[in-house]
Formats: sequence, C-alpha cells, structure tokens
Amino acid sequence: MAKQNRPRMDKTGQQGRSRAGGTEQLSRGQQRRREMKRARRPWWRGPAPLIGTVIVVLVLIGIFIAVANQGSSGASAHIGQPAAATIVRAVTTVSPSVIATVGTGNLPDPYRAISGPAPTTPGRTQVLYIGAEFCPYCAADRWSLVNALSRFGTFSNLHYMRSAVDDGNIATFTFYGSRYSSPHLSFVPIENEDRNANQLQSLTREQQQILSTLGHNGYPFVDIAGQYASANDGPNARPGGYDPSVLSRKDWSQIAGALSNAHDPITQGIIGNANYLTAAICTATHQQPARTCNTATIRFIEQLLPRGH
Amino acid sequence: MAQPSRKTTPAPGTVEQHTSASSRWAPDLAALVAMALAGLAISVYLTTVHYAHVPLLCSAGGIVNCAQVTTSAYSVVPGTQMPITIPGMLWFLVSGSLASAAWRMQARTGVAPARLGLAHLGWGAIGLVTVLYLVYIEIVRLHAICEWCTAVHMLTLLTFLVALYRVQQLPVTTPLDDHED
Repeated sequence: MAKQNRPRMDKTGQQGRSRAGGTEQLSRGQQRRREMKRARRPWWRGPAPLIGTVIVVLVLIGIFIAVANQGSSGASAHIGQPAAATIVRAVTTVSPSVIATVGTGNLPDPYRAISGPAPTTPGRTQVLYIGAEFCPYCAADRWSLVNALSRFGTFSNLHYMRSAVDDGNIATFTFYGSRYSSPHLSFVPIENEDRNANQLQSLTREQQQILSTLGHNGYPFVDIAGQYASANDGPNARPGGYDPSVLSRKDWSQIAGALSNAHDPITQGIIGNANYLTAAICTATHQQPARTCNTATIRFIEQLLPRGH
Repeated sequence: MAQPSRKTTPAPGTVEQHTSASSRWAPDLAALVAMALAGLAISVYLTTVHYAHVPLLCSAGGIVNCAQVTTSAYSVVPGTQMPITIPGMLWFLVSGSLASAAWRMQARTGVAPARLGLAHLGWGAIGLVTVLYLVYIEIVRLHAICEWCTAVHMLTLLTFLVALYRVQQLPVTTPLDDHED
C-alpha cells in the first residue's frame, strides 16, 4: 500500500507547519529526505517491473502473431511434405460421438446408385477415386475419404497438398504416393493431374470409360464397387460432397483440430460426407466390418441411400 | 495522531509490517478479490458448457472462434479428459483466497502480511506463464482466439500486475535494497 505523508508532529503535539518559519524549513527537509529516498529507491520498487511485464507480454504476443503469419504465408512450403502423424491421427480417429452427432451433416446425399461395371479386387470391395490435385472439390473430398476409409483400413504415406492457388488454395492431402491397406477394401486412387493441371497419373482404358460414362469427366469421381458413384451431375450436384469454402484460409492443423467439434461447419462437411461414404461402402461390403457398419448412424444413413437398379 | 508503531529496526532481509488505520481499506486487495470472482465465474461457465455439450455464447467463425479453441485437443489437461478450465477455476480460487486472507488480516490487525503478498506474486507468475502458453496455442497452433479465454487471460495478467505492485509497496528491507543503497 502507498504510504501517506502526514505532517510531522513536534513534541508538544503541534504540527511543525504551524510554527513561524518552520514550514519552509520542514518542507525543505521533507523534500530533501524525499529526494534522497527516491534516489535510494531500488529499481524493482519503481514502475519498471510493471511496465516491463506488460512490454514482455506484448512482445511475446507479437512474436506469436509473426510466427503464425509466417506459418500461413509459408504454407505452400508444406506441399509435398509427409503429413504429420498428429494431423493424420486427428482425421482418422474422429470420436464416435462426433460421428454420431454429425450424422449426415445436413448434406444432401452425394452418391447415386449405378449399375456400372464393378471394378473389383478378388475378395475385397473396390473403391475407385479419380481426381486432380488442383481441384478444390477433390481437396474437400479427400478429407472425407481419408476419414471414411480409415474406418475400414489404414492409410500411410499421405502427403500435404493444396488445390491450385487460383482455385481456393484449399489445404488437403494427395493420394499420389499414398498407401492403403484393408482386409475389406481395395482403394484405387488416381490423381489424374497435378496442382498445375499437368498430367500426373494416367487412367486405364477401363477407368477412362467409367469416368466418362458415369462421372461425366468431372472431378472428383468416386465409384464404390460399381454400386454407387459421385453425383457430380444435375442441378443439385455438389462435387466433393460439401462446400469446400468452409476450408478456405484454414491450414491442416486448423482443419484437423476442428474435427473434435461436431458443430463446426468443417466437421459437418467432412464427417457428414464421410458418413455417407461409409454407409455406401457398408452396403457394398455387406456390413463389414461390424464395428464400423453396425452403428445406428450408419444404419440410418444407409436407409437414405438410393436403391440400386 | 498515532504514528505507525515500530518495535525494532528491521534487519536486512526481514519484513517490517505496516500498521495504519488508513491502510485497512485496501483497493488493490479488493481488486484482486473481484478479479478472482470474475475469473471463477467464467471458468465455471466454460466448464459447464464443456460437460453439458451446449454451444458457447460467442462468435464461431474467422479468427475469433471460441468453439474451435474450447473444443480443440489443447482444451484438456494433457493425458486426461479434464478441461483446462478446472485448473483455471482452482487458480482463481486460490488467488481469491490469498487476497481475502490478506484483506482479513489487514482489516483485523492493520497488517498486510508480506508472506501472503509474496505467495500471491508467485501464484500470479505461475498463472501468467500458463496464460502465455495458452495464448501461444491459440495464435500459433489454432489460429483462433476465444473471447472468454482472452477475458480470463487478461484477468490473470492484471492479477499478476496487482500482486507485483503490492509486493513493491511492502516496507521490506532486503539485501537488494542495501545493495542498491
């Protein structure tokens, strides 16, 4: 507490100030003592520690902002780098409660029933993906694909990617060079073009035919065992399953971090779309594996899927 | 008018206790108690929201995005499912208790116990370091700021500053003082 300076009392109890000539003398004395005291006051009793604390806090916050901005502006430096294990884990291990809460994410069904050729791998259901690294809808769809397919198997060697700078610059992964293993599914990802729209992976004659006849040559195209395919055409088509703009100006950690909140628009899009994909795959795998397919949420969404011909 | 009673001249490193009727009203202690109550109220609210799974009353888009912060992986004590708002509640509870105890002692005896002041400063420093870590997480890792969290961070910083101010005002004769002399 601040000390109060009180008028000095003399021996008779009178204030020194009332004595003739004493006021000036005492004031000088008091002033001298005060000045000496101030001169002798250690630095740490002055305002320096208080001001210093505030300055240190402000400087640290400034450094944090600079680091964050540097990370954002240098985000393209991550492209082509292996995806961090923490990011992949956040996408592939979304909690069942979030999956259940999101449900369809209020999205329209992104798949339509088809009766096309059934690209299969013996003993396993085949999921065919055809996309391009520059494409923002593919960028959005890959988040859902990684999540949904991880309920049936395991991804490895995923790398960071962004859609083209002039096409959303959406943070995502690329399936180019990735690996996927599952006892139930065979996943065949084709990144037909790179981020600059140059040819990256070529399609087989059969894949080209499927893309042109069932996918209307649009990216992304997903074919689930010849039973369901992306609904890329029509007035209500939503390529990629959801609006990629929810991912705009977000980096991978922000998107992955959002997946723990069922009410976040990012989660509604990615997980809602992934739940549709999971339900469609479960229909094709005859509800295998049960821990993935035999849930109320997936069962419910399966009822919403269009019936095959 | 009574002068402050000084029984002995304090030796270096000891505490000289300040007794004055006017010092019984302690606005700095009152501020510490008020800030602790405000921080406690916010922490209780955030903890309730966490367990009730209801949306927070704040914006949820762009840089200011409470939900993104309070539901992130950093919103729980590492290795547990406990929201960090619970240690936050504990921090404000202890801060308020230290200030209340100091206030009571001062009102009763006119003495502002230096030990409580120093303890409060140490507690405030712990809180400030934690807050800086959380601000780092918000800005660098999450790229999102939560208004409620920022209010708590401001209260913690102010608590530290007031605690520091109180320690600065303690009539302490320390070896540092002697050295400075």
